[in-house]
Amino acid sequence: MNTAVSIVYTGFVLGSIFATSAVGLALMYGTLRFLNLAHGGFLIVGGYVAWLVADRLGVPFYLAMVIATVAGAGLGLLTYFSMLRPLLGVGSPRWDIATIMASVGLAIIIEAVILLVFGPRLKSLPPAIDGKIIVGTIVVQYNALFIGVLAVLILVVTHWFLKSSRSGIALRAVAENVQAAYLMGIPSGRVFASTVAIAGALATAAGVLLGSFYLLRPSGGLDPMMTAIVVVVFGGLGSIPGTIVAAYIIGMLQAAVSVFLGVKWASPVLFAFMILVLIVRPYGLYGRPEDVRV
Amino acid sequence: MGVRESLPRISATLLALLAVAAPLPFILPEYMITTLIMFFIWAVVAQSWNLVWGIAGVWTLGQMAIFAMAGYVTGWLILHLGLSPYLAAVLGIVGAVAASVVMALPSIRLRGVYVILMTISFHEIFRILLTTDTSGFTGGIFGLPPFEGFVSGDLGFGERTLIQYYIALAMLLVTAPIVWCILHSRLGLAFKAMGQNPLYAAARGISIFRTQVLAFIISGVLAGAAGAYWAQYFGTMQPAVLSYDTMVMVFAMMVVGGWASFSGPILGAFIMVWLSELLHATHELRELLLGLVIFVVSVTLPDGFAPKCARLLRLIREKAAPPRDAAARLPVRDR
Amino acid sequence: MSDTALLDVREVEGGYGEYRVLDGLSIRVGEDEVVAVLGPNGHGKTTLLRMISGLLRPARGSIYFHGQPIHARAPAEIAGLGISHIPQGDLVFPQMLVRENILAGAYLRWSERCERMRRILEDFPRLVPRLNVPARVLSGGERRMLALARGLMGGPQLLIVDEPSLGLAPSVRDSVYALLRKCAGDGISMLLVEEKATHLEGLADRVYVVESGRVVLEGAAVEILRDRSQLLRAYMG
Ligand SMILES: Nc1ncnc2c1ncn2[C@@H]1O[C@H](COP(=O)(O)OP(=O)(O)OP(=O)(O)O)[C@@H](O)[C@H]1O
Ligand SMILES: [Mg+2]
Repeated sequence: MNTAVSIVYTGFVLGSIFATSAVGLALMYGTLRFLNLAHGGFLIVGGYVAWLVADRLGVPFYLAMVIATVAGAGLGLLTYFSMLRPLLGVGSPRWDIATIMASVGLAIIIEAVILLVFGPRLKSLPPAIDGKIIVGTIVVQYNALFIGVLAVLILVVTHWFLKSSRSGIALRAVAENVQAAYLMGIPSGRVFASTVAIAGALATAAGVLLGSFYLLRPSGGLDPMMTAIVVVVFGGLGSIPGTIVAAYIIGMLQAAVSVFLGVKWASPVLFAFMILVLIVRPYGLYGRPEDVRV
Repeated sequence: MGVRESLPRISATLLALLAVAAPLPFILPEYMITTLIMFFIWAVVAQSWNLVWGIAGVWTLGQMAIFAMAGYVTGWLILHLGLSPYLAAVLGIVGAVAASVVMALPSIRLRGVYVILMTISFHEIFRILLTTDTSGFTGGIFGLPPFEGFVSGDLGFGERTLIQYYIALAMLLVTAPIVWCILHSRLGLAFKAMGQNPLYAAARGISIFRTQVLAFIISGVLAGAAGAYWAQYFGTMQPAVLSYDTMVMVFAMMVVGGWASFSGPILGAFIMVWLSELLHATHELRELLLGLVIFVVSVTLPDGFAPKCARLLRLIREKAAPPRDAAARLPVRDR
Repeated sequence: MSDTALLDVREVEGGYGEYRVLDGLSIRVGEDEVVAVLGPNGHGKTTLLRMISGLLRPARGSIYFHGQPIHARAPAEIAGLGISHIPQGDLVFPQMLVRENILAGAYLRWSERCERMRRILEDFPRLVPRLNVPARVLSGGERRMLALARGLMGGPQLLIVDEPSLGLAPSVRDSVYALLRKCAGDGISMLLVEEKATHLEGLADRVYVVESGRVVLEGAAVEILRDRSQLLRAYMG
């Protein structure tokens, strides 16, 4: 019983963080067919910016969060103007490969800059709230709970944005059919730029959440990025509701694996899961079968 | 142009390359020779990768896993069963092909980004299992303990490097023409058809299953040869070959040189190996500059350097010998 | 035909890459006028509409809206000037709900979206019970209705409709035409493309017949549509 509760609790916290981190990736893929392999870099930038302002300058956590988010949006815009816009119109499959490769270059640049600026030593973010309560045999850190709830809040706002706001509807319209969106008077360039900015902001926000959970290191974005990719695939590449559901399922899975098999098995099981998904249901939970198959 | 008619041209090119490359160890300083050896190895790997990714259009990221599999099998057999390095290398290639086919089968009905995700999963599982292995079977993060390769350890360092140089050169000069011939054969046509339009290829009676598995097998042999060579050259095998950095480096060779062409990956391997050598001098800026190069090249030259070089060569050739008829001025694609 | 044409397409040429579809084509649409362009399959009708709404650039020639040149403008800008193009094949956003599709049409008039949606849905009773399903599940007729509703949300001055009756059953086609008549009555100018002339009577003021990328016949609708033999000759070449 206790094990089950503990798995659900850990799964909830992990799932919320995974969802925030994966939604940004899914947004970029959904609108621009761009698999951002610099996503890990975005995550880690969030963590380090928050560390810089929270730990060094003593700014309170929520403000650090806001600053990191703004930095993420800026990084997203920089990515759009330096890399995506020059490549728009080259046509698939060159678009896919060039953007993937350029994003790998970007990831290396980000990691190298962080290493130069912050050095290789591990850093830890101060917790947002101290304290814990003990429920039965489970230790519930207030900080973890807070992070989980904050992630849910971010998801709710994102959901509202995509479902009801002018820019959100425009973004989804562009994702589904650029030409038809043009005919509605929706300027695709601006929508692309704002998508990348929003995705960047979500990624750095997720990076802050991750950073208050794990220690920060310059190459620390890689593993969470891989998890985010698995989540996005499982959700159905580019589908937002699918991504969120997938994030919680994978959060629970991770929690269960850590409890029953040990932390060492978390990653292999994750990738085995991805292979299974790709064999059995490659279009994921909410995707469209026709995108996948030859 | 058929394969048979091109044989004289291929042999001439090979002889010319051999004539240039053979005396190099006696002219160049030693560090350049070791750099050239790395170039030969990576050129073969990039070539093998390009065969599946660039030509056959199957976006696999499993190439380094195949490479590592060959190296590990080779090293393990030498170490634990005391096999001769040559036999071990052959079995290493067999292991690589097996790994390649294991990855090919579940990827067959997928396309594009989905293949990337499938193959990267295999790669990651392999890497994690290797690095977390504490049973001593693979040596975990420390890799296999040292063993002796093709060249006896009794020889001096200079002599060993000299012999290794010629073995690596031979590997490239044997595999590259084979790839060229495959590309210009019926099989190569099937690869290209599949890469450009799988539905059309299937409609024209090309078996996607057979073609794709064959692409993976051939590519597995090439990457496996390079992997087996690698293991015996360094006399050890470490999980670092599976690191993200190495994968990016080799992948960049294919992209920077120009995927989907024959010469692109070789050119790319040459550029990247020397670039990485040059950047060593910049110490902590190395990664940053490497990232910048990859970024700038993929944004400004999404087709890589090979098409540019081909154009340049053509220009030079036309300058040197103006074409007699208009037909010679038609664009000639580098394949 | 006065000088104050709402839309003035002058001598446009162009197509897809090297492939030239339009060959010096000129048409005009006046204020409050309904103009129909007729022509057989594959003779450049859709291409003409794509050039007007900016999805394609003409290689030569010019297009004026309210006397301003628009042939070099971006499609989103042209839509912003008050041209709404309902494309062939409808191009609804398949994964988005019907309601969201209609809202996307209100991008240019976001502050009035609720009011406009309420008013427009009065004319599209068939869509009301379907508002909360994804557009991909709609039938062909419902889809055409959705495309029209979405296109009207932006409050266009000029409505361009590519083959409004394509693939519809007679009853649905009649309701589409009833809607178009109502729009014309509301003072929206229209440019309709059709393959056949059958349903244009009482709606179109003027008719152009296009063949191989040129206008081969033009005139008042009453005359051209009455004299079928002339139309037939134009079709036969
Ligand atoms: N995207 C495109 N790329 C290349 N050629 C095209 C494209 N779209 C249309 N064409 C060609 O342009 C020509 C005119 O096509 P268009 O769609 O304008 O015809 P249409 O008059 O609208 O025909 P229909 O009544 O069948 O819709 C055709 O020969 C068609 O093959
Ligand atoms: Mg048409």
